[in-house]
Amino acid sequence: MTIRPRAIVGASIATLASVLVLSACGSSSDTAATTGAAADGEALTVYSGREQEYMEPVFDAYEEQTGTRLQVRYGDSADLALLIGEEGDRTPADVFIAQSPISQSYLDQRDLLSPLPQQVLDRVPAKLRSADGDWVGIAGRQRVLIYNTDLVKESDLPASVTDLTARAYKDKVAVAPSNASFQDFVAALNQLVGKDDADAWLKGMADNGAKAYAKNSAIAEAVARGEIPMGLVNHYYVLEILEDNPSAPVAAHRFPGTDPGSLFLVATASVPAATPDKQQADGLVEFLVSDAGQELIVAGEGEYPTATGVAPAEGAPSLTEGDYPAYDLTGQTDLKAIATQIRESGLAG
Amino acid sequence: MPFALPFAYLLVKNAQDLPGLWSAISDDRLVGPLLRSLALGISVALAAGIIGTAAAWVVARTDLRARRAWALLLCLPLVIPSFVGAFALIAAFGPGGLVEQVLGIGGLPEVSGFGGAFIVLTLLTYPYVFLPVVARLRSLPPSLEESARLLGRRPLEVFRTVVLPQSRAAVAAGALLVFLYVISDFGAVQLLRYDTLTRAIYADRLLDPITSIALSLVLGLLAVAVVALERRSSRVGLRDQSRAGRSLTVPLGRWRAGAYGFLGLVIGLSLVAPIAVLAFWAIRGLAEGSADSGSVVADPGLIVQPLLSTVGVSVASALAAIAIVLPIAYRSVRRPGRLGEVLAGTVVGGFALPGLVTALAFVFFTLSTPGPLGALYQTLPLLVLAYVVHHGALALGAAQSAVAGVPQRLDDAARIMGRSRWRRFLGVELPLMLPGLAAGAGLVLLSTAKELPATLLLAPPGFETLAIEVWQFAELAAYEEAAVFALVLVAISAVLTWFLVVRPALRSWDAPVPGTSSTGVDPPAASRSPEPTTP
Repeated sequence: MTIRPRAIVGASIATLASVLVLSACGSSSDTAATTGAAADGEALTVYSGREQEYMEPVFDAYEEQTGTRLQVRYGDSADLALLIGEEGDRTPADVFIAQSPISQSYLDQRDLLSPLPQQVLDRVPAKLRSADGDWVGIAGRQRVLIYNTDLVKESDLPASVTDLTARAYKDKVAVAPSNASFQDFVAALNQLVGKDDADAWLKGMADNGAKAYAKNSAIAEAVARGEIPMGLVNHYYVLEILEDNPSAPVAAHRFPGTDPGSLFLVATASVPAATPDKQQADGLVEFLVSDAGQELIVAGEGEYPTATGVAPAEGAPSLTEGDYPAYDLTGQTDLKAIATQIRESGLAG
Repeated sequence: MPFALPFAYLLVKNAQDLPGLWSAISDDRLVGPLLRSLALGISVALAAGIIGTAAAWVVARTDLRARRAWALLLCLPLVIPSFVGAFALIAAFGPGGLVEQVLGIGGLPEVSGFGGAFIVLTLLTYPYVFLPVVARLRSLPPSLEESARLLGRRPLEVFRTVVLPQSRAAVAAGALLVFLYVISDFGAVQLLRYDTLTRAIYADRLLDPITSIALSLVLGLLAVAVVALERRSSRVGLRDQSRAGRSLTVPLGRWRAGAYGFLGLVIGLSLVAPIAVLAFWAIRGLAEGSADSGSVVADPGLIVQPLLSTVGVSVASALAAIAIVLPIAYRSVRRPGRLGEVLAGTVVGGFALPGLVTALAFVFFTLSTPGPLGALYQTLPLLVLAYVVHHGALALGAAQSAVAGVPQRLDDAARIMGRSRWRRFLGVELPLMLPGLAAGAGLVLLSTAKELPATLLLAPPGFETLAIEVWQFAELAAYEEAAVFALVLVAISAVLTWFLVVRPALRSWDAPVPGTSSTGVDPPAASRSPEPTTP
């Protein structure tokens, strides 16, 4: 096949014609009523920011118990929240599960979530769910510093997460800047020490050679291998390494007292407003905070249950209110602003 | 005109927001990634150009033994998708990789960044240069070279002064295809964390859609310009096909070991090494199993579903592509004229646009469109449509050859006998065209099975293909699981490549007069598909 110049002209004309048609479509879309996500009968669509490995047993149990089929899209919590934001009332998602509150509040601010039924909210203490009842915490986790016990002496561990910008920790610390939990941590830092100091800390980390990883699990494995001495992760990643290999040279360092580095966070679940299967979607969230659901969730990762009256997983370190900073999880934070703040600090994702 | 839709959408969207476009392309969010894309594209095109040309000369012009087998092996890296190649590099030299685990060598230099991307892409793309140059060398009359030899020029001098000038167009066309492949690539640069345009487009697609769409337009224009240039250069260069006789053979002499070493090294690094790394991790994973019962190494049956999804969606795309491009092929071959050329041009334009950009345009377009078009969002039909738009040119080249291969007089005869148009098509033409159409469908099938970014962006929730599985596990650095899926993907790709590319190539190798290369494999190879002779 050969193409002559006049064909290129012709192809350009065809493209222009499509342009005109598209422009017409674009302008009519403002007036035309948009259709919501189509009801898809028995199946529910779940967007899950929590990894497949941990959620699959929970979803399987739900499918078995109710006969509802679940179609799951896994991804980064922040990506999925932004995706639902972009999809708006066209989103196929009936339920959204995020690693953290920040992804939910992004959607909450845009009125893209529908309130959960009271009996679901009542399962969880008020400080672990949104004030307007749009999302609930489904599992608690704490930020810790994972370190390699062969490479780091206990006496050399920092007293505060803010110390990690010091020379002593140059090129020694791993972070996961695009991870939802890290984004929540930066949001908390903004609230607890002020945005200027938070910016300074982020830049200080970047200048101090903090190494970026894509995921918390990658950091935990890198520290266990001795590739890097320490890293900022959620507590259960340490438990997971030790479960696979009890003699792995890793330990979790909980920053003492109410240091911002010891932030307590929750994984969350919500129901997008666009779902045509509101009742079924609420049913899945209700299962996640039920006794059975909570036990499955905490058993997978060694997290803390959020529902009252459910015992923590075996092996989860004891946790009281004096062990983490008083950060309001339910406050409104702008996910895009935080992601931009992290990116502009030079901590590459 | 689905083929023009993604590009048209980018134009409209950017035109509607000129300040956004301007701020995006005037700030360093464009400049840095664009320069990195160009740097990687140019350096890989140069390196692949040198390796591909050198290998082609050794195979086509020296007294190498088993030349056919070498030629065959040198094409095979095409079966490895770029993200699988990048994953193999990481699983070998990355932290906790094969070298560290088996040889106990730690503290290896970082494989990420420019170096890693350069190595992986060069090793996987040199066949795009090797194929056209080998075809060109085999079609060149040896008389000029013989004269030069008789005049006392040494073989290297002959190569420089006689062979290279005559095959320059083939080298340039191949290098342009490599350049296009590299600037369009998403999988390798994303895994190896080298911030090119595609990576910036992907990272910004949700956080900052305006910038992402502006960058997509820039990349799309660049890609379309490259394809236009490539088509021009290959037309000019390959027109003077002269009949080749027995080709000149340069005795390797004391360079024999060096020649075998060079070819062996190229094949070893680009083909044997990646597959060996994948096999190591897959076997190790399957032998050790996993505590997680949901893992494929604990339950190999989990391969079945992604395998079926991959095959199903690829077959559907192949059939749809043939159905859509066949009328265009008819028009452009049987009644050459402006309409046919325009239609064919838009199909090629659809293929020029990187898969990531095409997919992104479809995502944004369906999301902003009401009614039945918008309802296609995150459905299989839209995924298939995107594949057809992206790979339609592969089917078009084959379909045009197939149509051209049906003698017009057969159709005339059937018409005189009073057969209707439809019966002539079904009874006379279709059976004759079937082998050619099957080859075209096969190329679409192969490219679709290996496709990554459009699959990532457009697959419905819960729809998992082999490429998606490889990708997810590679991102988690779960070497064993990713390797199992990658090996299955490479195996499928190898089988298809054998039937679609290698066997026809062997046939043309045995033919006395080799035609121009007809070994389109990947999107960039589309424009190398055979040129139909218009009746």
